[in-house]
Amino acid sequence: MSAPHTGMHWQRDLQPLLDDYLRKIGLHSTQARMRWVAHVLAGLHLHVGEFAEDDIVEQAVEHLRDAIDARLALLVDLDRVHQRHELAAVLAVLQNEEYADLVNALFQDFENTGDPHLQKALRSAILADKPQPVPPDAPLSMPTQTIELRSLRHPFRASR
Amino acid sequence: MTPGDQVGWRQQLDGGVYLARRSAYFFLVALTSLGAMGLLSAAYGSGGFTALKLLLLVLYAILILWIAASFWSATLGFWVLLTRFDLFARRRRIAAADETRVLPVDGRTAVLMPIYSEDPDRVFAGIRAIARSLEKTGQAGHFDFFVLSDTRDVATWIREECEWYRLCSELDAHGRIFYRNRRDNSARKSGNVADFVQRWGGNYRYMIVLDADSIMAGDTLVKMVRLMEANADTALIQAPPLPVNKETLFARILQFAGTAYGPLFTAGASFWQLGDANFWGHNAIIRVAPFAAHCGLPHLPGREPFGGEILSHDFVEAALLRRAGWRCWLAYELNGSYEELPPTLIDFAKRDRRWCQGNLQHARLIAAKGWHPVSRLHFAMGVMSYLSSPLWMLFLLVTGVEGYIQSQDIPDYFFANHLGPVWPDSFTVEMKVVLIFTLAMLFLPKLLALLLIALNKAQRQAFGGVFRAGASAVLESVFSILVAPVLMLFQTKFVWAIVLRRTIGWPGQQRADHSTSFRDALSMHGVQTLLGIAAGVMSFLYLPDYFWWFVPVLSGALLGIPLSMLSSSVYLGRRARDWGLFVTPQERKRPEVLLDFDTALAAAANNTLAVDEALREPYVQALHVALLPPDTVLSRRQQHYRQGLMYKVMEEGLQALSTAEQRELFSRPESLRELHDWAWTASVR
Repeated sequence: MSAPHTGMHWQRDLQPLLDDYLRKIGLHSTQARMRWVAHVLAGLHLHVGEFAEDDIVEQAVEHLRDAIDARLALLVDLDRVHQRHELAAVLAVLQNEEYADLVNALFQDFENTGDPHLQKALRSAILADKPQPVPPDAPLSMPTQTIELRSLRHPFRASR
Repeated sequence: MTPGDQVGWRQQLDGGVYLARRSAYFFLVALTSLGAMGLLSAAYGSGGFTALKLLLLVLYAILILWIAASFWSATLGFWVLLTRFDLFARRRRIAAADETRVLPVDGRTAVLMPIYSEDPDRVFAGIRAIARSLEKTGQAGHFDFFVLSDTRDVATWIREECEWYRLCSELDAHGRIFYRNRRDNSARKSGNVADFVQRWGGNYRYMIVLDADSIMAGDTLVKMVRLMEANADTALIQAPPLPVNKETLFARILQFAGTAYGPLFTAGASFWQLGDANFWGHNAIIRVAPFAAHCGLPHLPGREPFGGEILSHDFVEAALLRRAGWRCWLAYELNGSYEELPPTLIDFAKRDRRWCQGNLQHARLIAAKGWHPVSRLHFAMGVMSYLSSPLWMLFLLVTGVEGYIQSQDIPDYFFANHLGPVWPDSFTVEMKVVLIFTLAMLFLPKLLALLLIALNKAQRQAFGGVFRAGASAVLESVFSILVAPVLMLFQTKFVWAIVLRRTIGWPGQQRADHSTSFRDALSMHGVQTLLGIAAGVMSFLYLPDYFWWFVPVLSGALLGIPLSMLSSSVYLGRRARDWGLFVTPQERKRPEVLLDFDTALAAAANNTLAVDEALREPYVQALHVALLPPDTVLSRRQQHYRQGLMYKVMEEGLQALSTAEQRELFSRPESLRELHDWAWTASVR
């Protein structure tokens, strides 16, 4: 992709990519997606001199990902930098088809954070479907057994 | 009578039954073997014993002992199933059916499915069917499921995670079905299960160990827990699995054999093994605390294949539990336990290669200190199940050589002071009796199994009637006669390779139905065919009298390629089913848990997401990060290594990395985020 810093072509070129990303998140509304893309591109524009031309696509995706994380972090009171693991779990919950409407409601507007209904719906989704890969540890020791082998060469050789 | 008196009385009775059953079994095996040996000695004794004849006698003694042990197990199993007179099975039936026995609240049960590079669709369809079946018992709250993955390939790893999460959401089972992918898959399956015990074993009183192709009915799982609760001295109960689900002709023939004849062998084994039974590695319930205390497996001294990690861990774990005084039972009467078989002869042989190495390793354990005598016998029988092939081959070769030597002798009818001719003694009758005797011991169990089916109306119907079951048994026998030499040659080669200390690593298994191509068949059976031709020509030229005796063995070796290809056909398997051949009760009337499995497998996403595609999916990436353990601080050296891998990906793509390198990046959330962004960049370049 050609993305000269000086012109605005790179913004035009990035639009479909970011739009595609938001589609994959499940955001159906074209207007909402356009708002998100504009928001990300505006943010990116502020930092345009700080990265190389080759990195522009990566930077754009990173900005969008950060914006989505920031939106979720605000809604569920998580620290976007230090609780990325938990944030990933929250995002993973939203892949359920039953939360398709919730996803659209959540990302309809990236600024409004104060909707208590939205927060409640998200919290109940997390409670119901947060991935719990393993239970809390309850260790048992498993000592290695001794098997005393008998052989012609080493009659009392033991295995440990 | 006090409870103490009752226990003492019962123990005495049990002790008496143990002694009587084992005495009967070993007496019958010894008597049969000695009888056959006597006949053969009489036949060989004419003209004095030569070194070759003595060698033949020794080989026959070992082989007939092996056959007699198997024959009497099946015959006693037939008697047990016919009369239903088994004190221990009766006690188990009562305990298992006792619905007043509440499952323990303080001791939950973990259902473990260790997997290694399996098809995720198949794995989770199985878990789904088992979990649903358990739900129907109303006892699901007492069980947790663990999918214990040792998968290395990142694409399969990610698919497993997606399927796991989907299953948890669909069954509303978050916090009841767990998944973990082991970072370091040391010690293979036994290490995988040990890792579970060491991390979460304290949460559970029992664990039910499955295989990737296991399916068990919920009702059976509940019964197994009840049985353990009723038998405080028992650490392991094995539920014999019936083979199901495959459609190739090869697998369907084996499914029929396993379902029709298998129960005789398991009932017979249980008859004499009693509380000293073996562990088959899956479809068994294990008491977790004694397993943790006594089953930490050591490494055997020396290098592989005889030293190092214990490969066939199941036998050793059962022996260790017995050594510690715990009972292990084979509950042959438990239904609702299933497994799948390799779909083709070649896959069967590949599985044999792994089992062969594991079982031969046990040869070093037979004489180790402290085992229960029956545990030693299990080890010896495991070794013999593979060693018998080279022994049979040697027996056939020596028979040929001896036959050739005899054919060179010119009989002398006039010698010493005899006035008339002295005709040489003919021992043809004895030889024929030995042959018929041996064949009878090999085939009689099949007839007994058919008889059992014929005598039971429900069984008759389940197998499609006596005529169809009989025709299936005849065809199965012909097939097994043809396949036996092929397996003998394979197993002889495996044993030889292991003796030469060649190991095979840990290859994944191809479980799905598929056809064998000519190229594969040629590469696997080509040498066997050449050997068959050479042996045929030599026996025809030098042993014309014996040639026809060798024909069944030679035919198998010669027909290896077409046999392997034709038997791998799904079309022929289905046609056979349409004709009512090799039909099992599980096919005729599908158990509910198998129906659920079919539905789940049919509805499976069949998702073949490539790694690059998976990386672009925001939700897939988020789920993977969420399942990773928290990032640890990397040393400067590790950081450079990781960064080096990232550069390599960016320059040459993910394919440029080895599986281990891909895993390294996919195990770090930070790397994953970078990869995710890169995947999007790559998509527009």
